[in-house]
Amino acid sequence: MKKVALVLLLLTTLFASDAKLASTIYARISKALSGVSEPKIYLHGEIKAFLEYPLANPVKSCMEADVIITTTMQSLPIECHEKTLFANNYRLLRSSPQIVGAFFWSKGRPNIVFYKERLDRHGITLSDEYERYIEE
Amino acid sequence: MIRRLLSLSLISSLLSAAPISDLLNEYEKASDLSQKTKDESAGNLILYTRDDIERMQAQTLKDLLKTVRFFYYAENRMGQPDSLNQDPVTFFSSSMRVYMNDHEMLSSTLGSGFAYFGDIELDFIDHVEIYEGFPQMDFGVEPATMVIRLYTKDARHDSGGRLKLNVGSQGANTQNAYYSEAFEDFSYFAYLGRYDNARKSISEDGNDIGRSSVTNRFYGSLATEDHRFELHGYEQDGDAFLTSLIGTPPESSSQEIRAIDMSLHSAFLDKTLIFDLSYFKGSLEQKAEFTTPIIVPPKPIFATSYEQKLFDESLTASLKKAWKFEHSEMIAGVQFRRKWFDLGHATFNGVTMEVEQAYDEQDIYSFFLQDMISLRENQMLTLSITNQIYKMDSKVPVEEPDLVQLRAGYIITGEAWTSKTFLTRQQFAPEPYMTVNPQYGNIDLKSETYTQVFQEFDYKVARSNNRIVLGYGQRENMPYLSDTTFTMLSSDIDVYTFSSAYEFTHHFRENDKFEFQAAYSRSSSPVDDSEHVDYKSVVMRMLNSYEKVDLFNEFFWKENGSSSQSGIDYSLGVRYFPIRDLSFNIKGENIFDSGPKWQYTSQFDPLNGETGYIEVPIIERRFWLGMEYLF
Repeated sequence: MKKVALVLLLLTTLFASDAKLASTIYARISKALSGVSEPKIYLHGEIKAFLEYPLANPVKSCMEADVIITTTMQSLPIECHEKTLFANNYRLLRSSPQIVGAFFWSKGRPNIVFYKERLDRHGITLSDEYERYIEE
Repeated sequence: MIRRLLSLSLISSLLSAAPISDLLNEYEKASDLSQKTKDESAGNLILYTRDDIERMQAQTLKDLLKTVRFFYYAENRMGQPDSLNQDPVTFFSSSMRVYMNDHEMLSSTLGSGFAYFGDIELDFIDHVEIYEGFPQMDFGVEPATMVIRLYTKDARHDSGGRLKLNVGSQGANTQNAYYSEAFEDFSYFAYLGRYDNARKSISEDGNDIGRSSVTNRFYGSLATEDHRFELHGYEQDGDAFLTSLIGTPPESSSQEIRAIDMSLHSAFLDKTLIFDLSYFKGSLEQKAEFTTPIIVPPKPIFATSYEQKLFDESLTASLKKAWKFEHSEMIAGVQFRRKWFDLGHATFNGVTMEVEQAYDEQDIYSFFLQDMISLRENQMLTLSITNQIYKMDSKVPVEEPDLVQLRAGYIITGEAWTSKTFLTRQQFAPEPYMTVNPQYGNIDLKSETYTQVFQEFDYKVARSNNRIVLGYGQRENMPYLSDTTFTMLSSDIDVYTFSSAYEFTHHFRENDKFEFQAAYSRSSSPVDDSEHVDYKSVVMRMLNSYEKVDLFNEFFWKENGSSSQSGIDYSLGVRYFPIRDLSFNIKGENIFDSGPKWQYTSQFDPLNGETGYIEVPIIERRFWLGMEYLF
């Protein structure tokens, strides 16, 4: 069944699925935040895109991670709060000063936001292509 | 398979090299909700994405339906949506069904919600799918010639708010706002809108016939991953246009509609078990004054004032279960629908006539089964059957329909082409407004049988897509209004319909597209098999974006039956974004005031049979100026 749907989809357009793109965006941001080509990523919470397209280099403990992608601050070990944290929603980014940025939907479109002060606190300098997403 | 792997591998390498801004744009497109809900295999699909609706500046569903092949928007003599209008019959579009998300919005009296929702405001709607013909069972089990599915905006994508204001010519104006928020476990969406649809009056026989209305609407939803509750209510006050009576145009008229619609959608067992519950309650009150008394058959009554109240209520519950096998996907389900209706309150010259209806309650039990079979990797066969059993609380002997709906579909795809063939046999029970209507109802009306074959062929070349659509249908027992007995009758003559269309879409660039459509259809008469009506149309539409500006151009020519009703409707819209969250828009509809017209019976004398007609623009000339702010 899905094969027919896939053929129909490919006939219409050749773009990748939203899950694949979301997974790729998280991976690119993790690379930019960590400064390493294959960052170790810890996922705290559930993000649907990763169920379909899992992270390339996941770790089981947040302590081992270069970047933590999180959906909540609840039950995240306190010793990991100083790691580089990245969220999947804006409310969490606003309410948790430990988080440096977020990738989320708002106003009908996907957004990426980084807070400059929080990036500076972690000594993170992002490349020029991320400039437009950094807020003071 | 190798080609597929290569494609996916190509996509992966392209993604890893793409700038983050491009990835974000691609992600936005791939996440478009219409990509998730549309099902090309479900039927002959016409899709209006969120982007299309916004760039076309479509304010109401009418703006989309006016150019839809074979089912162009039209209104009845009460100014309500009725694309298949057969004036002077009040409503003829029972087979055009309107769904919001997963539930049908239903008028129990009319058999479909099209009269109430065919011109619904689109400001809280994300995208619109239109399926011509009888689509798959998972898109509703009721027989249909067209299914319109409205998908509301999703709080998970639209967190935040929006305010939108518009002013138009003739004093028309709109104001609406929505706010939504998504939390980890649930989300909510709330919309409030006011639409003052002020329209130009039509001068006829010394009277100014109005068809303006003001609509206030609320829509709210609460959703979790597997459950959604929706509440939708609206009130509309306005003119009743020519009214449902046939005689002379009214000196004055008014119409009040009140409706509330609630639904619950729940998914269980990894979304393979779906439960839907919906409830609709509505009322319509119409008043009119006439300078010349009109003669109301069958009594007859000579009336100078008229008032009528209609009440609608319906409850629908359905349970569907899906099973996935290696080469097929099966869906089985049951649906129970109870309809209450009351059409018996009419007042002529201040004297109320309570007419006892033959029945005012109807239960419909539906049992359905569908199997989608993958014959090969590029071929699919769909088979479905529905049995519908009607039960009425009738005080007089009446036939209780026992109907069978059959559908077979075959889809085959190639490198650049797709072919879809659908064969359907549907049976439509006569709706209450045709059976228990005190004016022209006939409880002995037979169920109508509609057999149809529909073929769609798509061929894609680079950035262009070509589509040919062919349809042929036969209607048995088609209802019509007898001009001798003034009651609804079932035609003894089979009615044939032939439909054909060619469509071409070309994407110049990512955000620039051109659409062309030419359609022709012929329909024979239920009264005289030597008569037929030809419908022809051409649509050309351009959607362009240049940096902060969106442009919309639409040319529409249509002729139905007579050249006096043919016309050209040219519309133009411009949208400007000074910043991302703020836009200003200007739009002209039917700019040259030369659009297609529709003919109504304006004068009728049942004593000598004299009949007069008026022709009225379907879409009138109007200009809009507005703004939209996201917060």
